[in-house]
Amino acid sequence: MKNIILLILFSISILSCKKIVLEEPEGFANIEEGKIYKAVSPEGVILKIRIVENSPSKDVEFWGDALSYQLKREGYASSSDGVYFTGAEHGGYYHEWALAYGTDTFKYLTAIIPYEKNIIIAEAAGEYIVFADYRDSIIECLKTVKLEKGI
Amino acid sequence: MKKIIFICSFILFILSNAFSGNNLHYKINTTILVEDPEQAGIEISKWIRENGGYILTLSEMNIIVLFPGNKNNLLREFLESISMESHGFSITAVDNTEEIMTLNSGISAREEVLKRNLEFLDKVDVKGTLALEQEVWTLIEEIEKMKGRLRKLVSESRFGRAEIMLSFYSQQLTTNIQSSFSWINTIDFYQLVSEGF
Repeated sequence: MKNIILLILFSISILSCKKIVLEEPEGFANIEEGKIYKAVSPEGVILKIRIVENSPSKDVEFWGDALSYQLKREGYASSSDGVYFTGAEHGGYYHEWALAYGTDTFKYLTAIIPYEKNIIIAEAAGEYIVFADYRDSIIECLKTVKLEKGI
Repeated sequence: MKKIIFICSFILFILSNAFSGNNLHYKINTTILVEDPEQAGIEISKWIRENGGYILTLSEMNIIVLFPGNKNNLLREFLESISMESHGFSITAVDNTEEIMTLNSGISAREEVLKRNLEFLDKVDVKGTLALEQEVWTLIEEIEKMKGRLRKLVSESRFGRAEIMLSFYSQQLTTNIQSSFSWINTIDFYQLVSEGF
């Protein structure tokens, strides 16, 4: 009997697992897929997408403000105003930052897409000049991100 | 009669202002904060060349350019458009009109004396020739010096000089300010770039 209950719970837990589904950004190689998506360009521009719990349950404006406020407090310099965008199924928000890393200036993009009980978080970073070549494909990719049930 | 005097004064005022404006030499000093100094340097160089100016110095963090004097406002707008922030923008203008007029009259006077001296040259004896020759050389030297100075002032009036310092983000991030929302604390540029694949 215990085994059956455990089996049922295990099945439920598998079904409740969500994986990230997206149209792969152009020019990137996939490193990891599933609950965490990671990709990298030949020049080392990194894209990482993951899921966190939307708790307390709030909308994109709330989390966009919260994230931008916190990063500014930490000293991140905003390189442009935050942008709201329409995603595959839910709206999202991205913000671009510029900061020194070693002797170079890097661009760092943060994006959030509140998705029902979850928030999809995307981070991308790369050398400023190189990043410019991939920026559009990253943003297009973010617009296609959604969650599906699976392992 | 009063009206005529007033109109004449007004015309003279307009003309003097217009003339004066043509001989202003602009100097701009500014430091702009940019995302990428190298790229900003390329963009500034391109703008300067397209607008008839030229580059005197171009290094990673510093650019000195000569730009058409009548485009100082456009240059300012352009610099604002490529920068995130501007730390101090100073513009000074020196009016070269008076010096140009002094030089012009000085050159004319010396040229007149030179002409007369040359006319006398054939009519004097050897001793007089030597004395005149010495004066002629002195006059020529003075005229050339004044013409050189005049050319410099005219050139300065055509071109302003801008010294642009480029700075980029070098801020230190503070990691000890925590957000009330735990997941926001996991958003970290340095962690992202250092965690590898």
